Amino acid sequence: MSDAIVIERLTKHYGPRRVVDSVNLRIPTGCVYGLLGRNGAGKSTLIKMLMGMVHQDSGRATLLGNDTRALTPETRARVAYLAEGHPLYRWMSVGEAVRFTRGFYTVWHGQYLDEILDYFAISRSAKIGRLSNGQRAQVSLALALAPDPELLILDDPTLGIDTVVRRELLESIIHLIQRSGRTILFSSHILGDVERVADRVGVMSGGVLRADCPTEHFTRSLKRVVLEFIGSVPRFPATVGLVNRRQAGTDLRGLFSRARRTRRRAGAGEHRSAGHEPGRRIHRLHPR
Amino acid sequence: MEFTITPATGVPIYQQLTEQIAAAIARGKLRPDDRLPSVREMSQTLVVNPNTVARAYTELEREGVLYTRPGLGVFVSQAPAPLTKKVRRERLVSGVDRLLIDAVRVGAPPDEVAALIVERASEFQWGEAGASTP
Amino acid sequence: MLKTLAWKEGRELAPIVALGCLVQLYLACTATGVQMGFFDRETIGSIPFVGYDDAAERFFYVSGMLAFALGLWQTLFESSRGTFQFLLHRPVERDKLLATKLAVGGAATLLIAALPVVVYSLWAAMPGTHPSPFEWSMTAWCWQLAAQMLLVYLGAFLCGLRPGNWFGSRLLPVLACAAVIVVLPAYNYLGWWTLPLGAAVAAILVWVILGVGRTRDFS
Repeated sequence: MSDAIVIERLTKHYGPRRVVDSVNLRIPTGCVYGLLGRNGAGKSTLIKMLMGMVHQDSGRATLLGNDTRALTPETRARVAYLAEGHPLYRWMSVGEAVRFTRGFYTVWHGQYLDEILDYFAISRSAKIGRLSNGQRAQVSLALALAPDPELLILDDPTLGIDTVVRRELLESIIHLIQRSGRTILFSSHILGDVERVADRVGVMSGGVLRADCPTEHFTRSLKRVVLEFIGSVPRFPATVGLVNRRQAGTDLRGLFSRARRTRRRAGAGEHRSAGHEPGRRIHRLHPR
Repeated sequence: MEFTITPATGVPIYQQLTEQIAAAIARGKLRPDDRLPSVREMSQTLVVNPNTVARAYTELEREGVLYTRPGLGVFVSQAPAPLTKKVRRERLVSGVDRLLIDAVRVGAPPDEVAALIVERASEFQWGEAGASTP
Repeated sequence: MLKTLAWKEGRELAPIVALGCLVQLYLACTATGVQMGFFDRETIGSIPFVGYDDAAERFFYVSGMLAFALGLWQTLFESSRGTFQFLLHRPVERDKLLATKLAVGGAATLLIAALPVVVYSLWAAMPGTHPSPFEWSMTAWCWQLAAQMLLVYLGAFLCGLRPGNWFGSRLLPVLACAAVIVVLPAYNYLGWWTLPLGAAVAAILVWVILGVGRTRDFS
């Protein structure tokens, strides 16, 4: 089974800054891949290069075997892309957007689209501009799925959506995993979402792909560190392996991953335990 | 039957699920031959990749905790025959030692620990073994 | 496939086209001497298509401004909403997508530019209305000018499409094409050579536009 997505040494500079730094990644057919990283880590730029929206400075990538610098209409019809912010034409009604999008495709399975719209009670005559972020995301997802794509690429689909509605969007994404053979790449800054949904996890930070392994390995590699301060709380320094950080009162809490890049094993389903116990260390620091 | 998944804890989701199913069986909330939700239902309810649910079910099936009827679903197995006392001791001694180390650290005397064990035991479903002690 | 895109472009441009047509009709009516409001007194003085023509000049200032607006509207609207990411992923060659946009925008430009000329000429061609003899050939320069409005449109489209800062090279095409609006209407007679020259410039602009569409980053 060939890889749905192949990325080789893909690099992009914006001025002096390396926004994507020599990323190598292969995503096999049927895999649900979660690309995790904070905003600004380069996930979105990487995805835009995959979609042929942004040109790379060096390296190459292919989608379904097609070079991303020259994606053919046939390939684009087999790939669904949900850009960040779920862009749609706000002046259109939902029904008009469906009619508009449908005009581009020869293959169109309206039933899944109808299911989503009915389930989330989104009226066809509603103006897209009046929908909430979550509803617009659902409409975008439904429109992307109607052509029955083999590959779905979702750029931070839950960005800007509040927690309650996020769950609904994740439900929709889970629902579409049911069909086998469909490959999904989604990026997110929320660790929990990636853990729940992805088979494999990649972590991007500073433009570099720092980890690429099965979700289970990633989860087991997580370590939580709590720093208690007396007095003022400094900013958590940017550290290699830092996945999440937040300040809670006078504590700084950081979540680290020691995961590295592990090769895929050809027979999926057999996972060996990484061998270390998850733990929680608390360090009390008193600044001098 | 309520199961919950907590991400970002360092425990893989499939493992959380196997532990919770095993705990539910031990507490008697799931009885032998009860049907568990299908992989699809469970994955929708928990908002978790169906492969993860399938993995949990497969592991438990391999351990003999669950069994599958093709086309009908996944069910809870009958309680296994009790192991010998020697094997039971081997399996449990390290857990007990861990508990006792914590007890020493917090300053709990042995009879308090024993009383706590008896108290908590009432939460669980014992086979013939549990019938005796008050 | 492209029909649906043409529908969308048409719907998006409709407000501007409607506004443009209304304004142009208003101007055309004032030029015929109908009492309309504040433009009246000035136009009674000049005789359209004969000598220096104030009225017709006005048609082209308006159509020039609207051509400029159309070009920017079609490009900036997509950029600001991020919808280029949506549009350019549709399974159609990028050149065809841009060409469809240009076709609709170009048609809208020509409509707004030609409308007042048509209306006025029809009125002038009717006997007993026009203070001087009228021949359709007298309007030749108007049609040429209407066609040149396409250059303004293309320049604005290119300007909106090119990435980069607003000052400097990005504004260049539009400034160059703006010269068309300012300079040309003052000439009542445009030599026959302006039409093929205009066509050549238009072709170059279209070629550059398609090139930018292929090479720029849409991020």
